[in-house]
Amino acid sequence: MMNKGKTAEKRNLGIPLLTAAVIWLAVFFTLYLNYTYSLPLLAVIVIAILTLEKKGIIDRTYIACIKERKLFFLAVLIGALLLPLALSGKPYALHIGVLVCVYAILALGLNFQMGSADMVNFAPAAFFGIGAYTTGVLTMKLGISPWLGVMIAAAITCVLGGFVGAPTLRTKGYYLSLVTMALQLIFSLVIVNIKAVGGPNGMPGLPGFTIGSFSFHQAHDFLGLRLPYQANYLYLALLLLAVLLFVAYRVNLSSKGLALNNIGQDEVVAGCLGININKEKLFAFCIGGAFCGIAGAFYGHYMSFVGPDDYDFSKSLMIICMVILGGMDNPLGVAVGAFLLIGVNEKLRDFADYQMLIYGLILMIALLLRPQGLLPKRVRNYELIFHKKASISHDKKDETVLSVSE
Amino acid sequence: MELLGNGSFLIEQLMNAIMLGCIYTLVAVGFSLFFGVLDVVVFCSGDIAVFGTFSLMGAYMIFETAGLTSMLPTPVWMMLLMGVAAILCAGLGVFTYLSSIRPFEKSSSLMPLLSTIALGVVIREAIGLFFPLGRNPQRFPRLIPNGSFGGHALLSYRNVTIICVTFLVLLAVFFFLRKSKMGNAMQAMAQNKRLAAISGINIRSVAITTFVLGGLLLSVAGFLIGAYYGTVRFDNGSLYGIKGFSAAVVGGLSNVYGAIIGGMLLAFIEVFVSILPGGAAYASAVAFIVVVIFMVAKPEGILGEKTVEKV
Amino acid sequence: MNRKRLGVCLAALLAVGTLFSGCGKDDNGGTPVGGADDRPVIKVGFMGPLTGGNASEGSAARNGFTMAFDQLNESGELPYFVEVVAMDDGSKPETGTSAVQRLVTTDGIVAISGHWNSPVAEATIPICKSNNIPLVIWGAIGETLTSPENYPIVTRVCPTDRQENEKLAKYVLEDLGYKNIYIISDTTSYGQSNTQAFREQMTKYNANLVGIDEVPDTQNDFRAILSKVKQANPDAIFFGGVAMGAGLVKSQMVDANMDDILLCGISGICSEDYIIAAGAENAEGTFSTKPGTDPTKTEVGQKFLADYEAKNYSVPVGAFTPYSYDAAQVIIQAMKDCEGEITAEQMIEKIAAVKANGLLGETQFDEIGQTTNPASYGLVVQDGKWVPWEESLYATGERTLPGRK
Repeated sequence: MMNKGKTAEKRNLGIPLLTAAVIWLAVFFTLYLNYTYSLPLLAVIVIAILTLEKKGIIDRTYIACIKERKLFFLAVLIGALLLPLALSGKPYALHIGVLVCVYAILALGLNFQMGSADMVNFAPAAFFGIGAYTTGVLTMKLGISPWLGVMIAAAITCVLGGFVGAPTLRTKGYYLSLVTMALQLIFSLVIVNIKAVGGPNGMPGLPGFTIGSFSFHQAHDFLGLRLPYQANYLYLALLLLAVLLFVAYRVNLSSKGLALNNIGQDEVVAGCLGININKEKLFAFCIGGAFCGIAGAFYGHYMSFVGPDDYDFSKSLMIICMVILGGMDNPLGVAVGAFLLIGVNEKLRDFADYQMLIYGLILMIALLLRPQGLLPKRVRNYELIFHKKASISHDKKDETVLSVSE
Repeated sequence: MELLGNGSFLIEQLMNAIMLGCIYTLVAVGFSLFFGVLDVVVFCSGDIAVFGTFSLMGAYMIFETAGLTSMLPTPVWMMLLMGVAAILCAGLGVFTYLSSIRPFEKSSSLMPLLSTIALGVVIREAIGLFFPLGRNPQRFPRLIPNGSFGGHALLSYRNVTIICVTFLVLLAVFFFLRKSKMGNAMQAMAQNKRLAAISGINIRSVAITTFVLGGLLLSVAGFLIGAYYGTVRFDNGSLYGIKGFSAAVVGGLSNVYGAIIGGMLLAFIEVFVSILPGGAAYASAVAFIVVVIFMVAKPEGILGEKTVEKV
Repeated sequence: MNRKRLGVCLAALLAVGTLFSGCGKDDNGGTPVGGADDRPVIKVGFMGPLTGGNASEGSAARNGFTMAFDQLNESGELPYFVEVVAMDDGSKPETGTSAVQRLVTTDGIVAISGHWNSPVAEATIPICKSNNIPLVIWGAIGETLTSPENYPIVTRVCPTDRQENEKLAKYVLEDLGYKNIYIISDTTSYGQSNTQAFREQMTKYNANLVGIDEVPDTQNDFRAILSKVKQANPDAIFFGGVAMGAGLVKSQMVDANMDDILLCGISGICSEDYIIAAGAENAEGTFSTKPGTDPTKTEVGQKFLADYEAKNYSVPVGAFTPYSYDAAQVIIQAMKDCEGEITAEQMIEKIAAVKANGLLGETQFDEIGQTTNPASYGLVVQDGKWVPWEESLYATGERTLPGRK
């Protein structure tokens, strides 16, 4: 370990480039291939992650990538730009790509509550739905721009997150689960009875995003390639995901993230340490709600349809599974979880009858064998992230969460 | 006449609520039992109950093709039928414990909850796939004869059986918990696991007994579901699961008596909201809103003890 | 050690996956049935609920649809081999969108037939439109699906909710003379649009609405509502929902001694599932309509039923199976009408102008793509079977429908 750390100071450019390439190739092939190949591929990815994780290679790669972050992010950016081009012949693959981004954002939103503060929220799908319905009503009834719709949806779900969070401040554990579960069910039961938003029929015909005369809902030619409209949305979704992933990361690193962890581990201790428990919990609900709202609004415009069937209890369960499977309290992990579960889910469409059974089995097995998730949370390495020049020569074990007070 | 008409209308609704309450109660008692003794929420309880209904139907089909129903006197094959369902449910209960509860003894309380949710999906889908035409609605065989006591529709054999069975089963559970050695051991474990272990109680066997008992209870719930509605579908379990859980929480999760109050309360709310004009669409929603209000105002439930956090 | 265990489990999962891929193929109609063939292959898509609560209706429709193309391929009438690609829409818009995305990008796809649920169709239509692939709806009856905006991409071989309810209302309110109606429907789009359409008819025939209730489609307990119905004392209950709910209502009606009230509803309840759900002896005297004409009456119909029987499918013919079969006939006829290479562009035009002979007579589309063939006929449950009304003992007067004076 020590040796690696020191040689890494001599600017190891290969690792970041290789990492970015491997990530994007894995994403590309999973989306591109038919289920006969991509399901085994997904299994290989899972095994690879587990093995690399066990050997500590992921940590070392992470360090190497962060040290050369400019290069790494550039490589990732290039990959992100190339992906929709490479998939341009397969709109369905692009569609899955967009779905992965949307669900990754949802999982990030839930992660604030479930991952960081250990508060299970069974209602992320309700926020997802409220985001979609909000922008649906605003753009279709009031004719405002979809961009503004997304922002207002985010603001509304943020506030609603606070409202939902407020009563739950008094409840804990199973009681919190039940309250959020009940809210999710109430949402599903009530939304079909509201005629103004189409009741059970939902609202078809949400407008797509536009920038000037560039419509995201149309196919465009680029470098001689005909890019289906899903490609536009994939670019947008990747951008959105990148921004929100960054936000989630920074929150996770900030004192807020630490406070939430502390609350999750022991509320009494957190209170004694002077953490304003109510404020932090509300914050987790607000920001989580906003993430889900953004995802919902984006999704509504992408699908140009908002209907009650897409935001039910089973959707909430799916998002919860993503967080657990990916790795609680690790933003990158939950994004990986979203990728894997959506991938499996879409690829299992070919076995429609067995889909849910396999899904349930995968979850049970995953919980049994790897309850901490594929990429469990890490000890925050502030030195590495904020002091570019500092050497990383100390042993990881010496570092504790609270040793940042310098 | 008008007044009398209204009176019998209300009595009829009261009866409806009690019947619904019986079913919710049994599932809720299952939840409370598991939670009380082991501190876990077994979310697939509803699915275990529906599994009970389907195993009754499956056993009945086998009995019928084997000619047992005509060979043996009715009470005998009925008992056999119940026995088969009870054993299967108890087995599923133990399987639930081994696959979804025991491995997570040391991890966060979230894990068993999610694992049992996943197990619920598996049970549900397995019924749908492996029961003959399992995804279609299934007709429950008529095990309780038609007719009623004194010719009064409210006192039909079915209604009376359901109420009596619920009552007797609950009575049996309470006696078991109060009087038997194992029941006392369960209560001890509910109070304080570590102390129970130190006092020489075999935690493992108590846990397994709890799940056997819970499975038996849920198989009875399954029988009632089948007998009451006459028709079941493989995915009904999640509904009873959520309703039962809500009832248990409203009553006070760890309190078995609370589950009865919670179950009845939920059923009464549902029935009396649905008789309001246009209320049927909101019956479940109102029930859940009441649950939320309860949770916020009195999170420990009606009969739950207020826990004071000690440092 | 842990890793070893994990490896074993994953290997097991993979093995299960491969196993499924074997049985997945023949079960989902994804591969051609005719075997090796040197004709060029073109594809048609099918979408419907193959999982979830409506799975039996969707699977039956898929079987009917695939069967039509199997027959075509065997007959060798086309210089092409037509492959059916069946996709599950799970009755959910999101799943439907994924399905249609896959279909429109499958190489060689020239037409799609789809959907039993109107919201799913609402979500997939824009995608068909933007990809210029014709969509022939076989089972979604929401009125707005066929419209000038969606024409000529979207056509529909089955009647709309309005057309079906018109027919039912004519039978129940006019011919049979029921006057006081209580409506129970579920809160799905199917239930809501039925309620609306039937209420319009009630105004037309001057019938009294004595009460109305909407329930979530997961509802099992109708007893509270039925007590209310009893209080309102109607002659008939109109049920705007599907088989499971109707079956529960009917069996609970019998329990509550409401033998003098008729239960009626349109084709959503007209299936074997209803009789199973209600119990054969309880279902007696339920009135419903079924779109199209009675298949047992016509020669093509009898042949269709016999062929379906011969295929040994696991689900029986549903109310809309004849429609999926006819949707296939429309597509086949349009293929025959095509000049030169069969393309999706050409198919749009040819389907819109089609004159196809199927189970339900000749199908043609009007100026918004709706079939001009809205025939439906009444049925009643008699001795545990749906029997065409005209042939039943009820029509001859040997038995009397509940609630009829």
